[in-house]
Formats: sequence, C-alpha cells, structure tokens
Amino acid sequence: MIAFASVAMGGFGSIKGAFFAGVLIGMIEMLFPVFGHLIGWDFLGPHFKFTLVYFAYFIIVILRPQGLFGWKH
Amino acid sequence: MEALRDAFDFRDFSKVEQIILVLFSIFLFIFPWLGFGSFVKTVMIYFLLFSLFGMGWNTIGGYGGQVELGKAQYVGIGAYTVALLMVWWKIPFWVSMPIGVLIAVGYSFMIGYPLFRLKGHYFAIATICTSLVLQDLFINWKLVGAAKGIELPIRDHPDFLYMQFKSDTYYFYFIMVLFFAGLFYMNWFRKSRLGYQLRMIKDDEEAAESLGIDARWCKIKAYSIASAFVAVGGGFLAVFNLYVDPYSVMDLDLSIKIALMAMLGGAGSMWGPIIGAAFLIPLDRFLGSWLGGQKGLIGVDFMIYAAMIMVVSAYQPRGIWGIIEQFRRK
Repeated sequence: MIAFASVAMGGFGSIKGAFFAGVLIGMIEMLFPVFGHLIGWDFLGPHFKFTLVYFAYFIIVILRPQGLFGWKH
Repeated sequence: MEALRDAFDFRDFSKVEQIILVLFSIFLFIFPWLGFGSFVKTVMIYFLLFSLFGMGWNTIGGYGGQVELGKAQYVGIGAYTVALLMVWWKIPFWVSMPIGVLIAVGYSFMIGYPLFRLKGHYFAIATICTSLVLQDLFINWKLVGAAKGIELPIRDHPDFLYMQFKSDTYYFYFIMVLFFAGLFYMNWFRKSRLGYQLRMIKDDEEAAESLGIDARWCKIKAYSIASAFVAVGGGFLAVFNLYVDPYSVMDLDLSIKIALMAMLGGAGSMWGPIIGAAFLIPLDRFLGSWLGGQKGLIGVDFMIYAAMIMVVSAYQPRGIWGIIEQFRRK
C-alpha cells in the first residue's frame, strides 16, 4: 500500500518521481515521530506514522493531480 | 409522483428477468419459514447487506466509472454513530441511523470536493488513503474505545426501538426492507437525470463537459448517494453484531470486498452487485466453514475463493452479468 502510494505520489510512469516520493515518504515516516517526541506532541507519534504519509499524499495530490513529477495526458 | 412511477416500473427489463425478480422476492419473503438454521440465515443477512453496499458502490463505481476503494469509512461512520449515540445518550436506533447517514453524507461532500479533482488511479489511491487515515484515528482515539472497540448495551427484553431481537428473522426482514428500498431507488436512479449524466461521464468526460454537464458536481452527488447507502448498512451492522471496532468495520478488506462484489457481478448494471454478492458471500462463508476448520487444509478456502474470482474475471472482464449477456446474445 505504501509502495503504491509512493508511485502515485511521484506520478505514474515517472522513475524520478517514484524515487523522490519514496525518499520523502521514508523521511515523513521516520522523522516526524522523532520530531513529535522531542516537542511532546502526541498526535505526531509513531502510531500515526502511516496517517502522516497518507496525509502528505493527499495534500500533494490535491495540489498537483498528476503527482510530483507526472505529466498531463 | 413521476419518480415513484419510475421506481416501480420494471417494464424495460426482459420477461425472464421480471419472472426471476418476482420469484426471488417471494423466496425472500418466505425464506425465514423454510426451516433453515441460524448459520444459513446469517449468510442470507450478509448477502442482503452486501448487495445493499454493492448497490451503493454501483452508483459511483459502476454508473460513474470512478473506481472507488474507500467505502469502509462510511460503513464505519454509520456503525460508530449508531453505537456511540446508543452508549452515551441511549438514543434509539431509528433516530441515530438517520443522524449517521447525515454525518456520512456531510463527510462525503467534504472529502469528495477535493477528491474529484483526481482521476483514475490517483483517485482510487486517495480514497484508500482517506479511509485508512480515518481507521488510524479511530484505532488511537480513546474516547471511542480505541482499538478495543465498543460493545452495545444489551437490553433485558427484545426492543424494537433499539433493534434488539431474540431471533435472526427480525433482522432478516429489516435488512430485506432496506434491500428492496435500495432496489427501487436504483431502478429510479438509472433512469434519472443524474444516472444518464454519470453514464455519459463514464464514456467520455470531456464530451460530457462540452455538453454542459458539471462532471465534478455530478460525481460528488453520486459519491454522497453511495455513502448514504453504505452508512445505512453500517448502522445495521452495528445493531446486528452488537459490537463495533475499527478492524471489523473500517478495514481496507471491507472496502475491497464491496468493490470486488460489484465488479465481479458486473459494474454499471442493475443486477450486477446482487449477483456478485449472491456468488461471493455464500462461497466465502460455506468454504470457510467447510474447509477452514479441517486439519491440514487451512488457507485452502481462500485459494479456491481467489481462484474462482480470477477465473470469472479472466473469462469476462465485465463480470458475471457480462457472461449472462454474452450467452443471451448468441
């Protein structure tokens, strides 16, 4: 599911997009919980890490419906 | 009045379909008196429930052609509204179910407005994402019972207001009434203005827009109709199981099952979701109880289940209804 989301986030058919989206998803998944722990916010905790990924996907795709590096057909 | 006449008008179906529909209705009416056990009754209830879900999915996924894989969030909203209102304020089912449907419709407008900028795969994944986010929230939300879920309080006596009965028969008749309401609604829907607009959008969205159809608004409307259907079913699921937890009512499995049944039966046709549910639910249940418990055969039921789905969809991508139409044309 995460892999599917990462491909869609980068844009279908774009290898560069999939790479950068994968990196971005990894960063969100790992760094946000650490950050949340440091400043003491519970809703950034590790049990919400997938929520953060899906939320990022949602925002990116709303702003750019063809994905980060996708193109319009 | 016009709408009612359209809803009860089945004349444009062939004679065979009409006869089968009448026989099927009679069978449903007398089914609880045929002396089947509790297991068969439960299977039948689930079949009717899932054909209701499938009919809801069919509005957006079948007629509208938008593959939508997030219906479980509306099942969850309907189920949780009924359960929570009953636990917190002792509000009867008949009041809390419409509230749940209203919440689901409002939420679907909220989600649908940004979501329908997307097309194809992007849309399908975005719907999965919203449903998984909601599931994650409910798993971690202490107020609504977190991952443990909530149990509905059991009443001392059978109670019509709270939908608690001694026998499955009552539940069966209730879901049957919902099923027929859904059937008549769908019969009206496919002949309504929105139905025709959606089919046009499915065939060619740009052509539809050039004819003055607001494609996005049509899709949002169809999406909220689908959500209303599914939320009704969710409310029923809560009182039927007397138990709600995020894993049983909001899981991705459930969304995919709903979409799979409608697609396997034949998306975009009137009988597709019903045939799909009639095929998959008994297959799933009977295989599970027959092979699932036998030593050394654990998992074989899922293999047969998946193989049947693959055979049907490889033979005719339009599903079982597509196969029937193929033979009829010969």
